[in-house]
Amino acid sequence: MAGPPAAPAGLPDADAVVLTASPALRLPWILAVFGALVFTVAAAIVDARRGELLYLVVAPLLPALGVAAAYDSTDPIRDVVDTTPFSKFRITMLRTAVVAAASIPAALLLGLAIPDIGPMAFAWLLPALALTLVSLALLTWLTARVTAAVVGAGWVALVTVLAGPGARDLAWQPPMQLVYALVALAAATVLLVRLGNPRMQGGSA
Amino acid sequence: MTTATAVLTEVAKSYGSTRALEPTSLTLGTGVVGLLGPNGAGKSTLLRLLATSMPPSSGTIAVAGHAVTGTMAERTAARRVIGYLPQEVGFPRGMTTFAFVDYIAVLKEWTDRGSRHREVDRVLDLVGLGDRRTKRIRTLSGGQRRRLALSQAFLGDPRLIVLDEPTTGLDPEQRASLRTILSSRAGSGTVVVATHQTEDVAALCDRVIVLVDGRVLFDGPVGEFIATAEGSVWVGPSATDGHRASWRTGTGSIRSVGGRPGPGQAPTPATVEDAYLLMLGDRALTAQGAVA
Repeated sequence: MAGPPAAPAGLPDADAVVLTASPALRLPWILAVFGALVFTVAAAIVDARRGELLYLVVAPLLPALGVAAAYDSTDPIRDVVDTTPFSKFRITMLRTAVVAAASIPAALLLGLAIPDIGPMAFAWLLPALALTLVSLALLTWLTARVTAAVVGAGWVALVTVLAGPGARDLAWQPPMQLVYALVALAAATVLLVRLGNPRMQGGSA
Repeated sequence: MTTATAVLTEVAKSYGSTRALEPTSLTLGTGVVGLLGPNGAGKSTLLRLLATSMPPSSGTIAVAGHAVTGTMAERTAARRVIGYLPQEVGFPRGMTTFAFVDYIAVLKEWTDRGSRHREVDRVLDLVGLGDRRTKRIRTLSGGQRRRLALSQAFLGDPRLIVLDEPTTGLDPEQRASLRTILSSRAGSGTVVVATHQTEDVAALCDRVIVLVDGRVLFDGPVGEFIATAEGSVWVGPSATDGHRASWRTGTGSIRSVGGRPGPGQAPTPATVEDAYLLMLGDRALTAQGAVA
């Protein structure tokens, strides 16, 4: 089974320890690999249109759920971590980088598993960014599991509502991509404000 | 002149509509401070506020001259001099003991690998886990896990060490060892210990603070605290009338705290426990579960 990656060469030692704090970040890797395997099997047994829809649902969620899983696995020592001077923003970004390193290649490989998907294989990137940033923002209020449930259920509901006439429109058409970009921007703003809020548990630095 | 390690000014904390800590002002200098109180008295809340784990609802806190409730930079500066042991630490149990402390050391800005590893080894040795450094946390006993949690609080010899029930799960030998470690810190820093073990307070602390219902009921030297019970503790063939607590001792006599002595009952020196029982009255015997 895949484990956390070895720290990339040139990475500061301290960041490498945070990244490879095994097994704290193993869960997102397992989630990404397991998710990719399940999806590949599912895509192989359903028709092309459903495979596309499944792809649009799953691919953007992989990084977001991975981030939530990364937090869930380190929540037990949150009380201690919160009182350390290490930048919480840096921890957040490092964790997200680890998750992205696992989930983005996995999601791209999923795209290759679907015949004739073409450039749509990349259409999930902006929704994935938006969902990941929304997850990070929600994690400043909610527990990891609740965040994962809210983001997952919300995305599935959105896809279900909008995917009626054509799933491609949901993720591919420029207006929706613009919406994802705006949501990502808003979530990033909320995240930055929350991480700098002294009234937030643990505060930030 | 001694510089205060921590100064709390009118600090209060509420969880929703529940007031966990009434406006409280404290100045903590060097030495070991024992925090006593029944469950729900606000001990853990006070410690979490001191450790910067959460912000107060009102009031200000300064640690080593840095305003915890001020700017981000001030709070970060305060965190550099704090070691904190929460009441419960849920470990990533697959980690090794060394990896866990190493991870926390990184978060405490020990960026140089060599010096960091030496420091991790030092604190693991300090709590008697040097020979368990490669063991997975899930293989450790409850007492060993508690000592592991303690070890991270000692990283870098912080000026303010905040410990929430550190002796829970430790055997007598380990408790004695912990007292040695903490007392060695008393001369140069501040240790705040919340505990239900009154004997730990008697053995270790210079000062005791008694919290009840989020209010400071007593704050002073341990000797003064014990003095509040002098003349109120008796031993004899039976319990005193109206005693607050009484029990049969190993010698067969009955020790009574409070009440009116009868024939054959003689006064005996009071302890921290006697003073605590007297001060809290019925609350000490029927500790209410509430917001900790």
